[in-house]
Amino acid sequence: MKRGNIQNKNLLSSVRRSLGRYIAIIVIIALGASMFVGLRTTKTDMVATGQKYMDEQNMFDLQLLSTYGWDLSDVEKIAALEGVAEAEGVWTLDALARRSDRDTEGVYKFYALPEKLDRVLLQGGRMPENPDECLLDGHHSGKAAIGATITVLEENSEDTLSALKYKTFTVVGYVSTPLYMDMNRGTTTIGNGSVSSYVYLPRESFDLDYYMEIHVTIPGDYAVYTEAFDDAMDAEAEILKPLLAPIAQARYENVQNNAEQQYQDSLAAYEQGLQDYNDGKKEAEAQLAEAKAQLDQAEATLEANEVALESGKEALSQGQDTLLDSTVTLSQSRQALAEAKAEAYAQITEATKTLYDNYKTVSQNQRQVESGLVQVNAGLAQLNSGISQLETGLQQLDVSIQVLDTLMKVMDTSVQAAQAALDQAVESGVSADTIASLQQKLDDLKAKQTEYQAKLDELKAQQETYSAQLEELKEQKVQVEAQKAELEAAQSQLSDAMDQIDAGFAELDGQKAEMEAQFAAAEAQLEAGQAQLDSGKATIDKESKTLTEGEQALQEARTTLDKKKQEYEDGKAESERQLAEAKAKLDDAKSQLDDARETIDSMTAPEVYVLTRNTNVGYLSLDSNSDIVQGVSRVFPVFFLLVAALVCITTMTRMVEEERTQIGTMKALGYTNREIIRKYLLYSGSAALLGCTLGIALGCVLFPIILWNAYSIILNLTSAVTLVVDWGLCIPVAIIYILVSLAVTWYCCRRTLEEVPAELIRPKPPTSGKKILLEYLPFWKNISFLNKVMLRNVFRYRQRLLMMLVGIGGCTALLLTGFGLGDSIKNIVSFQYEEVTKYDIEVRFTDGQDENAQDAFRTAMADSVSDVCFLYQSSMALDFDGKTKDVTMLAGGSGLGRAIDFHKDSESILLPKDGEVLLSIGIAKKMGIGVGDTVTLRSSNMQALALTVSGIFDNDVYNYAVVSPETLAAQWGSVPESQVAYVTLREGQDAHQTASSIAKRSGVINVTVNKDVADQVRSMLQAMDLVIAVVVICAGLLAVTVLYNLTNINITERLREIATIKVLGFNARETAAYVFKENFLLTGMGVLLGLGGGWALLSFVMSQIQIDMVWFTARLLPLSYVLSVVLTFLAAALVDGVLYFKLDRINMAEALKSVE
Amino acid sequence: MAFVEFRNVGKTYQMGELAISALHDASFTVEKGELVVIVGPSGAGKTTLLNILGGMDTLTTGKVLLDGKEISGMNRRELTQYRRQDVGFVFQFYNLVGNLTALENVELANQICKNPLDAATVLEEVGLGNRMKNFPSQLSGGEQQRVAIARALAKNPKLLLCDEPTGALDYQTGKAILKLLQDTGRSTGMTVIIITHNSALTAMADRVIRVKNGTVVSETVNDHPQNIADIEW
Repeated sequence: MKRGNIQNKNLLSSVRRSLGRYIAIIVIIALGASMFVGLRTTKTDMVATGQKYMDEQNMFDLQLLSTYGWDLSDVEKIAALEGVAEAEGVWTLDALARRSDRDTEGVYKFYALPEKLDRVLLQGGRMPENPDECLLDGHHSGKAAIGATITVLEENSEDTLSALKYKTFTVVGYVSTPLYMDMNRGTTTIGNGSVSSYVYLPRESFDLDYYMEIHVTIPGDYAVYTEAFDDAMDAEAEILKPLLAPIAQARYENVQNNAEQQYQDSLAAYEQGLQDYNDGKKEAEAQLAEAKAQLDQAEATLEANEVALESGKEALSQGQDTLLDSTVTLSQSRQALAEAKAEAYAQITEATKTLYDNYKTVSQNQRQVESGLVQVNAGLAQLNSGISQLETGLQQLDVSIQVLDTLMKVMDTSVQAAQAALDQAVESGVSADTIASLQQKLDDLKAKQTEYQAKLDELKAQQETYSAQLEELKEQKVQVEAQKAELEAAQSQLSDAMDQIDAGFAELDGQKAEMEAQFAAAEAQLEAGQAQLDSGKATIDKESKTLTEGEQALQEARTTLDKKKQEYEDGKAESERQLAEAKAKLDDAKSQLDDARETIDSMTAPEVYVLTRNTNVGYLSLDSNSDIVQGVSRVFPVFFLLVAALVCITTMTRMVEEERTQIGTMKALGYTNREIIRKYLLYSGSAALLGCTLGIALGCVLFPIILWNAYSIILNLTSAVTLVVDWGLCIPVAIIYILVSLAVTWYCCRRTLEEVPAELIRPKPPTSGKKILLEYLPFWKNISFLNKVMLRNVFRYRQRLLMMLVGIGGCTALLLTGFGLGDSIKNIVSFQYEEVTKYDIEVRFTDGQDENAQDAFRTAMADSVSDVCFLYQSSMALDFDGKTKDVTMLAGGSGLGRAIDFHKDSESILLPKDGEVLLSIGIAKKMGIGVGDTVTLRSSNMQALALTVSGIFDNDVYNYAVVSPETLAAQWGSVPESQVAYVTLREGQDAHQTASSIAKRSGVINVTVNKDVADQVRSMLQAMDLVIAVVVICAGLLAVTVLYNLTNINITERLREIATIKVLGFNARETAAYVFKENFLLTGMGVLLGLGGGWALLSFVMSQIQIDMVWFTARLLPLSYVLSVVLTFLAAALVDGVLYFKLDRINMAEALKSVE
Repeated sequence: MAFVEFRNVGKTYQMGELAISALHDASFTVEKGELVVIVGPSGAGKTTLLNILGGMDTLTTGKVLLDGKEISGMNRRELTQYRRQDVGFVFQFYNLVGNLTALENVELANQICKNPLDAATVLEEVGLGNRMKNFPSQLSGGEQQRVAIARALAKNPKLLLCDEPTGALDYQTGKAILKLLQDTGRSTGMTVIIITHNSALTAMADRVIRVKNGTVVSETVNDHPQNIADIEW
């Protein structure tokens, strides 16, 4: 044993010296083992946790449904049936409700708290103690929800509202239930079509006389998700179906009788209603007729009055006309009169003027005559006076002549005396003076005598003149007197004329007066006419006023009548409306009655459904999710084993090489090969054992806990995962890893041990330099010197090259797979609902929709919907090559091609023609169907379709077989009416709003918004992130481990070379480049390899993840490629960074050491 | 002024708590163009001296000058530069890169210095004109050492340092190598320092430096160095 001790010491010192490599083996093996065991165990743990949960909550095995529900008493009957362990009736209903703490409205699924089956697990709070308390869905609530209220909205249907005794429930706790193990809460026919949460109420809060479902368990303990369990459930379902039929039948008859009774009651009520309606109608009609007659009479009277008024109006109008004529006449007369008057006055004026002119002439003449007369008279007078004067003068002259003759005789006697005196004197000779004075006196007396004589002559002449004059005057006087007579005649004539003129004036005046009298009479007549007119007008005005008043009165009467008429019409309309309404109500009642009748008549024998636990989405979800984890686990075993083996090989090869001399020495000393190899086997074996232990321990605990936490996002059962150590898995894994490491160690040692000690003691000849193939290529010359060195180094060491390629390539491949898992699984949603499913809402109708109904739907929704595709959708069995799978058959027209984008890769696929079928890729791949194969589709009633596969289209969720309606018509004779519509929204329309408006339409039983489904699936797949993280971390660890190990060994091997180039003056950077350039080239090559391998690996993993209804297609987004490459290089850079320091620490003095 | 000057150089290795003095108080000078043989028994401190002179190791005390530059004060980067430009190394075990041909091994060195000689020419000069494309494993020990010498010479260094250049070679080959070194020194005027434990080689040197117990014990100038061919050992 002493030898053994030394050997062990030797082993320990070897481990100590090469701790890095030893740890690398441990890590790589731990990594591989933990990944494999961990992911596998996680599946087991998930299922075990689920099993424990389902067992503890006593989850149902079978769910019994009948088209008419179940009588309360049926539960006992069913519990007594064969193969039923326990049975419990379920009260459940969907109702719109408001949750106070989130202030949201939604559809809540209300359950009565079960006592036996599907018990809830209280996660927080307490159980309800009062009927108005409730427990809330733990997935959508927590502590914060306690105290909140759930209020059932009044908008709910009468049936719903009457089924619950309270309207508001206080949340006192939150729970999980085996009925909903995932986050899917199912669909509903109300609201937006999707249930937001479930709510548990105390049983006494429900007021229902029948159960919606009955849940039962079967005896026996079965492991979930096993065929045995599935078979047991299926078998019991088969047993129960016929046994349930009579129970359901009884229930049916009961319901039918109730319905019939209700119908009869309703019918009676309806008939009574109809009678009442008819009576009411008659009465109303009579009343209306009377009112109508009154109105007609009033109308007639009014019309007569109106006629009278009209004639009065006419007479008035005539009078007004006459009056107007008269007025005109009068005014004409007045004018004529005025004219006549004017004329007459003019005539008179003229006459007067003429007369006056005459008068003026006459009077002038008179005045002339008179003045003539006056003159004449004056002349006469003058004449007379002249005559008289003349006579006087003549007399005087006679006197004077007589005087003078006497004087002359005196004088002649005096002159004779004087002469006689003178002559005496002269004779006397008196004095001369007395002779001169006597002469003188005689001369004077003589002059005087002469004078007297003259005078007497003159007087005599005068007397003669006078006498002539007198004669003339007398003549004149005669003439004047003639003139005067003439004048006096003229005067008399003039006087006559004047008299005539005066008479004319008088006559004129008389005429004028007469005329004026006439005029006055005419004016008086006119005045009288005017007065008459005025009075006529006054009369007419009065009459007019009277008429107007009459008219107004009539109008009022008319208005009143019209109002009354309107009132009558309104009354009539109202009466008719009421009647119509009553009629409509009656008709409605009638149609309801008819419907009821029809329903009753069409009430078919009850259908009984027995659903197994496998129809529960949550139950399946747990299985699928654990399957995904398991599927991922398949990536690792072989791959990591390979890498571990390679790490082991390089490490052990190096170790054996390093200890070559030691081995030789030991051999020389007489140690057997077995004894020598023991050390190396112990070295690698212990590392493998440690790695496996660590890996399995971590794998069994860490992975399930981490992943269970991740899945708690979608699986809501219990927070504590049940850890199961699957020794049947762990021990083989450990054994395989250990065996592999031992095997490769033995392989590495064998060659060396075969050599003889002498050879071993000598240093191993240096590996001979050789040209690599690349050097024969023409571009070799153009490669820079250091790159040549690098290339040669890369390709010279084949083992290292291989290892690097596997390690790095593996890392990239793993990263790619990790990201690819995300791309493929997480993007199922985007793929399915963005690339394949183009419609937004699926609408299900109770019955087939004929053309009219389809058009009506389209028209009604035209505002918010751009396209509606009606199709017939049915679940069918697909037979091919002896295998059968369920598919959903879609039979629709060309619109289906718009609702669903049928394509494979990027090539679009034409809709199937007559006799053809398109299959979704999942079902085709699972059944191995190719294009051109002939398949059979069978409906549940065994109607078959023989079809040729014309295309296989990309589709991830559900399995579809698409046929054309023509095919159905050709093979079935008729096309079933479409009962499903795929609705595509207009741009910018809200899906939920549209969905709820669709849901409100009659005949719509279900509305599913694809966006909701997508969101649900998307959040469900969130757990994938952690799975991806696990893969990515492992890939990173793998890359780092492999790269570190290899580079480390590479550096150790080339210590001397590196020391030499350092001595040659390579600085740190150049030295690092000299070594690491190779690494980067190898990394690059590995990455390229890994990108190809990653795709293959991803495809493999995806093919391993098999979930019914979902087809996973390997899909990689560009970002995943980029990330994988970048992360791999990052790992390489990290390793190089760490080893840079090791490189830097290499002592140049190594170069001087002798070769070992 | 001397081309190479060692002034009271001391080197102490710290091994845990133990301080081992590898070299102490070593002083000598070398003139330019001389062929110097440093001779001493194993463990005398020859290699330490070489390491310090070659810029591969630092000293603890004293001063080293080459062509007026103080090597002892240089930092790592300057030392690298010094090795790169000023010193050519010939190792006992040739230290050729096995993965490179003879020519490439020479090129490896002159890739990095400022004014290298042509690799092929140098190889021809050392008598390997026809073996340039061969890998080291295809060459004999002597040929390998010639490649190593060519690699050192190609850098056109100021100083050629040879560590037991004949240590791994047989007698005749060793002689040939030494002849090559002597001829090279004479023809190019390069300062060549040969470190050896073989005292017989002192005869060929222009200057002999004897090392013993970690210090220089004597430094003698040989006025009449013998041709290598005339030396027997």
